[in-house]
Amino acid sequence: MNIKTAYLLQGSLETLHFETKEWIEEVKFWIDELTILEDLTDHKIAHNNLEDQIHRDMQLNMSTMLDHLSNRILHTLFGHESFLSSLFKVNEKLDENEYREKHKEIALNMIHLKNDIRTLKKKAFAFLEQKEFGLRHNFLS
Amino acid sequence: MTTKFHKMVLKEKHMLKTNLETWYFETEDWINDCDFYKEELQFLKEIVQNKIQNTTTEGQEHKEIYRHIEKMLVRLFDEITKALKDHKKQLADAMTRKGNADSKVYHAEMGQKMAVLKSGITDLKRSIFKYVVDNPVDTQDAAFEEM
Repeated sequence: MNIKTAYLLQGSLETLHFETKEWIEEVKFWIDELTILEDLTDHKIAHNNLEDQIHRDMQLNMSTMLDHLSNRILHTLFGHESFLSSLFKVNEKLDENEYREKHKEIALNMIHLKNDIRTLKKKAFAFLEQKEFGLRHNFLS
Repeated sequence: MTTKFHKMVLKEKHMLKTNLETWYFETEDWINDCDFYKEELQFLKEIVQNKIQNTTTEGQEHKEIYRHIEKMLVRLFDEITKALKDHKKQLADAMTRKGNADSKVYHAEMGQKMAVLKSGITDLKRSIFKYVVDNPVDTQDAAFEEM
């Protein structure tokens, strides 16, 4: 874990809640961006069998990531946001470990996800800019 | 002051209580973000550039978006990246001097600049996406196919 993430984990409940809402907005925006890139990918014309296979690889990469963001990540973030929000209404002293551990787990996932999204976007840019498709792009791990 | 801005200040305030090393890390993170923004905007500029027409109203819209992208790229290259690199050097110097009074003020300013920049880039990208949706790619569009 990087030192910034580690430090942010010490923030107040309100700060963690705000950060979670920022993540939700970020993921929603990634979905919008990847949907556009997926559309551009769909319109790219393949000229031979190899290019057609590369095209399919890119489409699969895009749809896999979009599915992951829409169905898994957003679901997790909405659940966490709702849980943190409910804690504002609790009057007795809270067990901080429970929500801070969950926040830490999500924070680490968000770092990996941000890197994966950048890698995918770079691949998409390279793919869409190519006049000839060249080498096959790797599948997402 | 909106609630969102108030809370953003709250989060930034929390970051300002930390140490020089963490600010240094955050500054490097911002530089990486800017490098990636440049890459994205260069790509989006290519898309718009391939759509520019000289005489139609649609062509004017393309040119307007293109100018916004150019302006943002110049700002990223000339202003923000330079300021971040200067700030990173200033933090490195402060770490050897073991003092952070000025660094805190500069870091707060950079944090605000980055928040405004991120919001501006998001708005710009949204307008480009809207443009792309409103001007769907024609599979017969030679310009796109040649990208």
